[in-house]
Amino acid sequence: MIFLYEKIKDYFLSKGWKELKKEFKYKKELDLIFKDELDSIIFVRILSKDELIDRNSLLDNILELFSLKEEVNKIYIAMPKVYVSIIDSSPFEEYGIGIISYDEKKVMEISPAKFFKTKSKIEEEKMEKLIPFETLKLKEELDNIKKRLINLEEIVRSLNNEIKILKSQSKPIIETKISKEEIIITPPSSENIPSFLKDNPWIEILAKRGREEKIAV
Amino acid sequence: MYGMNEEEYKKIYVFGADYGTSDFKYGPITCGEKPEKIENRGYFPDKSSIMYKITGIEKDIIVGKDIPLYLEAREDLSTRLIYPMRNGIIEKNDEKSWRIVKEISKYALESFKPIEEKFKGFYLVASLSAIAPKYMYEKLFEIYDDINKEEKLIRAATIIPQTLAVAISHKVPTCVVVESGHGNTQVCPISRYPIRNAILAINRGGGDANALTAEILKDSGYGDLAKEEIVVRKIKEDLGLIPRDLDKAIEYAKKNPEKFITKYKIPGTRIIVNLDNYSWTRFLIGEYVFNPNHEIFQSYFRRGMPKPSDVKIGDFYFRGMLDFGEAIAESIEKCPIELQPYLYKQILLSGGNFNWNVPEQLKDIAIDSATKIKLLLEEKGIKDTNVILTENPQFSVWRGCIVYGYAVPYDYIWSWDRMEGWLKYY
Repeated sequence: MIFLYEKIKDYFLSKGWKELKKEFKYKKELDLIFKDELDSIIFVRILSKDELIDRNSLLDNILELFSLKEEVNKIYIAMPKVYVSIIDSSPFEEYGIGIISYDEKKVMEISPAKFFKTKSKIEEEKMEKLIPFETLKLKEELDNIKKRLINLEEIVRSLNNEIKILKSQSKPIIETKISKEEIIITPPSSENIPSFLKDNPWIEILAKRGREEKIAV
Repeated sequence: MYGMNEEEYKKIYVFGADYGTSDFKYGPITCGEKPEKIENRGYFPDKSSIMYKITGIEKDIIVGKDIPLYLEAREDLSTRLIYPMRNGIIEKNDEKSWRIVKEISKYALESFKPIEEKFKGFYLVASLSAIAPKYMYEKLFEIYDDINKEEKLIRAATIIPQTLAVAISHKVPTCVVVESGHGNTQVCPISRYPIRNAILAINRGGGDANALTAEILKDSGYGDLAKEEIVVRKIKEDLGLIPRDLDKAIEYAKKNPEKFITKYKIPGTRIIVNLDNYSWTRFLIGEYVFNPNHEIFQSYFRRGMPKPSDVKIGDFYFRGMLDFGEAIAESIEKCPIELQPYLYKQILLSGGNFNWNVPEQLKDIAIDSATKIKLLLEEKGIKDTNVILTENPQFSVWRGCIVYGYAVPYDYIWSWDRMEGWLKYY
């Protein structure tokens, strides 16, 4: 288990997160606490196979961890891979708790944790509401500019497509005039045609399909 | 049609679709030299899985470049991730594979659908394996009809054999195209038309060379690596050699082992493979593809390596042990005698199974695919042959489709007798 504990810890550390030695209510020996680049606090509980035999144990853990939501920003439960594929995920979704699967080979995030606002964050937001009117107006302007930029990108993309089509219309790749009686094929007129169309004897052969006697083979 | 006649319209909206065994290449004439490429596969997500619920996937089949984003680390992945054209043929009742073909076709056409009003659907040229039975043509035309019921993307469609497309893109009207892929090899003579009665199929391809490479790895003490298909294929591609003469090559390699021992590091890993005293077996890998009849291969068959067998798939008998030289000769001999000398003068080799390394220092004993075929034909008394390894083999079929669609007149209507022409949808 210690090997797996270190593996799970490495997984989070590899994201550039820092381990915290903070104490919390219900913190167990194998629980991990991290701080990410945005200073969010993440709580990870590692459950072993033995702890998962009893269904109540899983629910107890979910409820216990959910009570931490005002103190930490994200909560994860790490479980053996084999259990992740068989458990009912709905309580996790309901409580916003993320799932991590682990085995001897790999640790991976199966579903993300919901971001909880801690008590201190809620206080901060209350302060933000007192931001002056001018700042809010600037924010609104910025949102408008973003929308206009997205629209412009869309227009450029569709213009690009149209240019492609127009190019192929204005410079026909090869002039091939076909009538029931006569087939006139002029050589390629443009230097920009793909190499496989240039001087290809099949153009003449294929242009006669349906206009020549069937070749019996 | 905005002042444009139908023939002009067709030339602007020709669309090529090459249903290859591993990759699907697609795109309109405006793509230029290279088409778009996705893997020819589809993924059926497990609807009961957590991932399915959490990601809120609406489709029950996924195709295209996003597949890796949906894959799950589940044991039944092999049954959910399906390559429908692995052997060039789809069984008539293989509904899952046909669904993938439909989704892939729709995905390709939608991704290039122009926005202008004059667009009334593409002139679609699809390409299937030369050994594809008639029901596959029927089924594909039905699929295109279904796609049109949802959105009018196809004005007319036609289907041509991949071997014909190769000949077209290489600008050779009279030739023999030998196409060798993962599962099998086809020999198809062409003289302005594919000569269907002379097509010969061989039940041997790159996958068989992989099987032999796995046996060699086991003998050399790398049994664990032998189970990893991708690793085995990589080792085959990088270490396998085609011998000019197998007996002489083995004798030379055993006398001069230092010239053949290579410490091969598998890219992106720490694994190093050293065949050491078994380095002479590098020649077996190449020889086996072209000619599996040497007695040395019997010991591998006796130890359980599957022997390429004769089988009937679709309308074709696939021969297991036929060497490539004999196969080409047999195929050409089914053509009119007057035509035969011309066919021997243009033999085009196409497909990934013909790409082999020839190290500079081993040039006297290791050779390329074209030389090997030439030698195999010489052994049968056929001289003055010209064998060419095709350039850009992965795009040549798509290119052939574009030329075909561009040149074949719009009013040349599909005929089931000729297996040619345009099937008009509206």
